[in-house]
Amino acid sequence: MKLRRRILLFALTLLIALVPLGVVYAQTYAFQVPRQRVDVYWQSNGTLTVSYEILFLNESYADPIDYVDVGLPNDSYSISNISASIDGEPIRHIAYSPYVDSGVELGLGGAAIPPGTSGTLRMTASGISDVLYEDNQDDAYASALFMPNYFGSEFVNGRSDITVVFHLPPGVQPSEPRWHTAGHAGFPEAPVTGVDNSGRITYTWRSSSASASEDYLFGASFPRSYVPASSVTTPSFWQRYGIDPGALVTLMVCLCFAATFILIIVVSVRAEKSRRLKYLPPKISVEGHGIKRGLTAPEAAILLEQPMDKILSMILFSVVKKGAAEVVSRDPLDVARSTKEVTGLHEYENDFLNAFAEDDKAKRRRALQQMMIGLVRRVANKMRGFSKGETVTFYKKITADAWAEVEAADTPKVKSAAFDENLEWTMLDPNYERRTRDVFSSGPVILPRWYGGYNPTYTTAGSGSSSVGKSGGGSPTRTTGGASLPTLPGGDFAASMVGGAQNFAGSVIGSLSDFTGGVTKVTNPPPPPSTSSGGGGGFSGGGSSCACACAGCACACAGGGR
Amino acid sequence: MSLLERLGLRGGERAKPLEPGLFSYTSPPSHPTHYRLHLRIEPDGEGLLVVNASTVLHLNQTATEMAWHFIRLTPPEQVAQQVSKRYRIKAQQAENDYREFAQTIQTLIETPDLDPITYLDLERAVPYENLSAPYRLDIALTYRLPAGAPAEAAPTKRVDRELSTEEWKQVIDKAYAAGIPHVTFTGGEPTLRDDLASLLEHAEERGLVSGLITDGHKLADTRYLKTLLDAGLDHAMIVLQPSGTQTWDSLASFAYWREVLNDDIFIAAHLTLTPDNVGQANALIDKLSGSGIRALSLSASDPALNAVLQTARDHAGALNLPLVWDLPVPYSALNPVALELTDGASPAPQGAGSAWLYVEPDGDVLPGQGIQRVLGNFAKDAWDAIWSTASN
Repeated sequence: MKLRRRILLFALTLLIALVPLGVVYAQTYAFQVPRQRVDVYWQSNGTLTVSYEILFLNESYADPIDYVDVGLPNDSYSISNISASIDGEPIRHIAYSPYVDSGVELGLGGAAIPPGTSGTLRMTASGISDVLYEDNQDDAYASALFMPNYFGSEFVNGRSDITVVFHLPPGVQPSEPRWHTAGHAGFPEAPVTGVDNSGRITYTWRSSSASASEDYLFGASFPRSYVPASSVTTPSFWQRYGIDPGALVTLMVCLCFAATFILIIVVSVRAEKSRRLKYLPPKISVEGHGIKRGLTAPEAAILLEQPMDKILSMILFSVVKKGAAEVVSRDPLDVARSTKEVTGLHEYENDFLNAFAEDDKAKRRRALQQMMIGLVRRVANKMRGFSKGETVTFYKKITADAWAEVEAADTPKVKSAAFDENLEWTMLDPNYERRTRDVFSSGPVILPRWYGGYNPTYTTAGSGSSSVGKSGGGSPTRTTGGASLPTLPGGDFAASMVGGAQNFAGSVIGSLSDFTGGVTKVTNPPPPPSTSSGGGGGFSGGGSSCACACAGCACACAGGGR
Repeated sequence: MSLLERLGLRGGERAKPLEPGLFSYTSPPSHPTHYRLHLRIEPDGEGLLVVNASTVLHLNQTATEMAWHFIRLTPPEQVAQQVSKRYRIKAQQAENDYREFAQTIQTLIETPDLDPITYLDLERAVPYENLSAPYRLDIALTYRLPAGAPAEAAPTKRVDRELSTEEWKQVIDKAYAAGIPHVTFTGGEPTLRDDLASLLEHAEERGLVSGLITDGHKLADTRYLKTLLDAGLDHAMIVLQPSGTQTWDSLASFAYWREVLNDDIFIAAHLTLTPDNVGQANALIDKLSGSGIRALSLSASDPALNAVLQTARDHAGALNLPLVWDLPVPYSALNPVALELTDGASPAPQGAGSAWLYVEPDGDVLPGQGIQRVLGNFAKDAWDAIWSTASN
């Protein structure tokens, strides 16, 4: 294996040097080489002497052979060390070949071989250096490889008797040299070993049926001690692998460009193939309509998550305004259904009044909770398919408009009328108490018609109320334009209006948070845990289903009832 | 692995949206909340998830992919891996998002009366916009009516013929291929077609939700009703005939099977308010509520009855009866929801011709019941041509 590799390696270098012998290609050349012998002398100074004897038989139909190009192993030779002859006649024209990279041309001149005749060329080139290499199997040995000239197959015909004789350096003992397996067809596997006239060991390869157009490589190794150490080239890394460093640099540059180019392609293709999609958080939207109109103020209060005591106060005002009930006691709060037949009450208003029909406080409290549960569910049903956000915005605007109307009133009469008309909507404002005090802080307030039903301590003959009671202080009446309208100092009125919610919290529902919790635990339950593998591969739900996390506070999140 | 594969030049695939199509999932009968999901993946990667043929959820591309995993029951950890492989997102974030997504869907499934906009903070999508196919196909199998049927139940168009069973099956197949997840059989009186059960069965095999709108006469026969239920009937609406008994008999038949099968069969009723029955509207609603219906459809024969209609709606609300309002019933345009929306600042969105289509007994396609604009013939014409006409 190693031998084969060595041969191959040096063959690479020698192939460059030992190019085919050629002739001037402008001519029509056709010839035979009946015989060719080359003696290769590996000299003791580490140089090489090559001696060719080539018999040409020019074909009758061809042009004369007037030039012969002979390749040499490398460029480490001198023209002056070359001599040649044709049929004994010295060849004068010996020059560097224009056709062979490493070689010379021999101009036969007048001794050109005419068609149909033969001629014997002899050439000897000596002093060719840099021809030995360190044996890669044994670094104590020098390796000598040689490839005889060969001709272009388009010029040469017939078979050739080719003999190659290696003359090893003087002094090499018969047991020391080694021949390299050539393995060429027609040549023996092993050369014939002999001794020349100078006592030098010879290896002779001969084939009588060789081809003068084939490249044959022959080799031998001998101890490098028989030649100067400097004459044996230790192959560089590149030479060891048969690579020309200069060509390698060029190659590397090209490869760098190619690699960069390929890398760009690969990276681009990979990036393209592995490009991931842009991730946006999963978004679910549900088809629905916009604003849910037509909610009552208490229903809107549910949606706006107002405290439950305020919502109860709103319902109280609502039933009192409708004349369906009146407050018979403010502390503790007690409400009585009116004896009058009132139509148009909402179901929650009826439930509200029914709750107050209960004398037992605990039962009343539970009834109010049930009423709130029903109200929350009703709002939930009404809101199905509508946008909560848009609806909340809508009712906040209604609240703002209501306050704007009240605050813009420039007379007590108009102000009172506006407040009366918009009372429930103004209560939706989170700052209802403060704004009420601010609006009514100065001047008397003309009391609404229903005020007597709300405040049992107030009485006026002209109020139209069926209630009769004492004044809460201040002027019970005021005469305006000949008509007697009930009035209260603004501060008293405001205090009276904002006290409703506190009355609920303190005397009816008890702890606001407990009351609220009793409602929201029904209206706002956690979703049932998943019990199957359906949906997300065993995903289990949990947590509150309600966007309003208000179970512990005082608002009324209208969670989906079950 | 070849060099090309090592270099990532072969075998890899650029992440792209999921293939369009209609995918469905039906929970096993043992599931306490029997439910059906239909996921329609649109060509652009976004999707529609229809929960129990009623709640339509619009999903962005990420949510669509998660919904796809949801109905394939992919474990959350695998979802996270696959999503992070296809999207520029870390697996942990993907898993968190998926769990939240799945919980939302699970809540919608298991708490059906929860309003998702109000209580799950889902965004609102304008109804019926930019649909690639309708949500529902209303199939009028026949315009025949039983003897003695009221005149107002008679259809306005007389057709030359009725499609055969095989032709109707092809219509169902075409609907499925178009991505329509829901078919409703109506008429006339669809139970007059002997092949109703066969068509229900075919829709069931395709994974479509199927509904029935009927006067209920034949459903009073419990054996016949059982045949329809076995064929895969998902929901039914009985059009109330206050003067007759068939409505109540059919509701009793449903109640019978509900109890026997221990199955919460979705049954709704439709009540048309007319000058003759407005006085007893609330009483009728009370009676319907007591009969076990799950939803109520209301309409009025005359706009002059709007006030009564609103009162009836409130009454139904007090009874916790959800309203169904977009099915092809008599005077369907005058329903409470439409009236309320029309009363607002913006016009009510029109689902006819976009969210649903109506197929007449001979295959002609109308935008909706009673809208005499033929969009094509479902049995003969290519779906794309029909949809294109409907969209223009």
